[in-house]
Amino acid sequence: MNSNQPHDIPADPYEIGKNVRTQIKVGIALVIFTLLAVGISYVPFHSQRAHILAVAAVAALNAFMVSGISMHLKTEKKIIGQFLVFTVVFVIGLFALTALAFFDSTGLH
Amino acid sequence: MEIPYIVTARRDTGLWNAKIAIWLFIASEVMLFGGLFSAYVFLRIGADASHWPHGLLNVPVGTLNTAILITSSITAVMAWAALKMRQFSKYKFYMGLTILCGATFLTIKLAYEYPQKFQHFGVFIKQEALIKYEPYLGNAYLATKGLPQRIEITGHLHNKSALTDPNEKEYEIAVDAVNADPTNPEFDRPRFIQKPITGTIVKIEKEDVEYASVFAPRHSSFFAIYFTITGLHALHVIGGLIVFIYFWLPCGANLYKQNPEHLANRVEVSCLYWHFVDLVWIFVFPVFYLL
Repeated sequence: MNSNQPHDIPADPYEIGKNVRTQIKVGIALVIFTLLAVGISYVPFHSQRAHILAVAAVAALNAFMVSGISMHLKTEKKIIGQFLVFTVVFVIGLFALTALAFFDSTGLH
Repeated sequence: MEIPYIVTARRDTGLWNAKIAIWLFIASEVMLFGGLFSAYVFLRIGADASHWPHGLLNVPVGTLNTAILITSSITAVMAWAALKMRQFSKYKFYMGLTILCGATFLTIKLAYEYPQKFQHFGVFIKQEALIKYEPYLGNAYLATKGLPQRIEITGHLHNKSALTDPNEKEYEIAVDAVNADPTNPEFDRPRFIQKPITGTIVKIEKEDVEYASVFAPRHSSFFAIYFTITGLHALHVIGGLIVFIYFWLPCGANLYKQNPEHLANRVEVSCLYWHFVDLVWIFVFPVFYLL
């Protein structure tokens, strides 16, 4: 069987249209949340930690929308999720090393 | 020889080749940027508050650039959708818009934001000389408010020859508003709209200077990691634009005539990459501009 048969049949306009509408909604939400993050960054929080957490939470939400919805990670084939697990472990390890280095007081007096 | 599975999916994975390849590539990119962001965290938490600048980047311009990049992601998907529905002229239009948005993003970053930084000059004052420049630093005022002390005077260097001529004993700087009026409460926190350089000229003796630099990577850890990450991100934008331009030119039209689904698949993986570039910027913007 030829695995590269030309496909001259247009895709279902309803499905494609639905996909595009979702992307537009995500785009609008991203712009709104970006503006929200900018607004939050000018709110005088009492602690720097609260300030960082609030802005980081909005950034994480935006990242979820891009990866999960725009990049279809939520509905993508299992195999992609399986090899992305290694990436996640690597990144967590990197940040864990950073944290360990920061909190390591060995040799300090 | 024909390469299999460039249009149809493999039976074992349920995916065509390029889809798996782009996700593997994105996985490696996550590790690359993850490493750089962990370096940022390491530098940031280890830096003294006085040595980590706030409010040096232009937030309105950064916000505009974020919106432009998000818009380009939408138009890229619309180009793919037009291909899937076999509307080639619509595809050309939306792909053209995507290229325009990407080019605008790059122009703002490389031709507006970067040069502004390279024209700005910062002078770090020695600890023992801080009192001498108190009228431009306002540290007594900052101490009453519990804010970190200022150790840097910034602005535009007037006598550029002072950088190379050892006989010149002073730097003459047209200072930023924050140094011209350091006890003004509106400078306690970074401002949304930056104020222009003032007409106040401050003379700083070289022997009082710890070190001085334009806002380049050598200026501070902040600018070192800022230029590394945003520069690498800009390279990714350039890479994406090259691919989009290739598909927009007659090569894309030729492939469309041969096998429209093949072009649609190629554009789809390019869109995935473009979304990833968008995703990186979504972290870059708050980390450098807002925090």
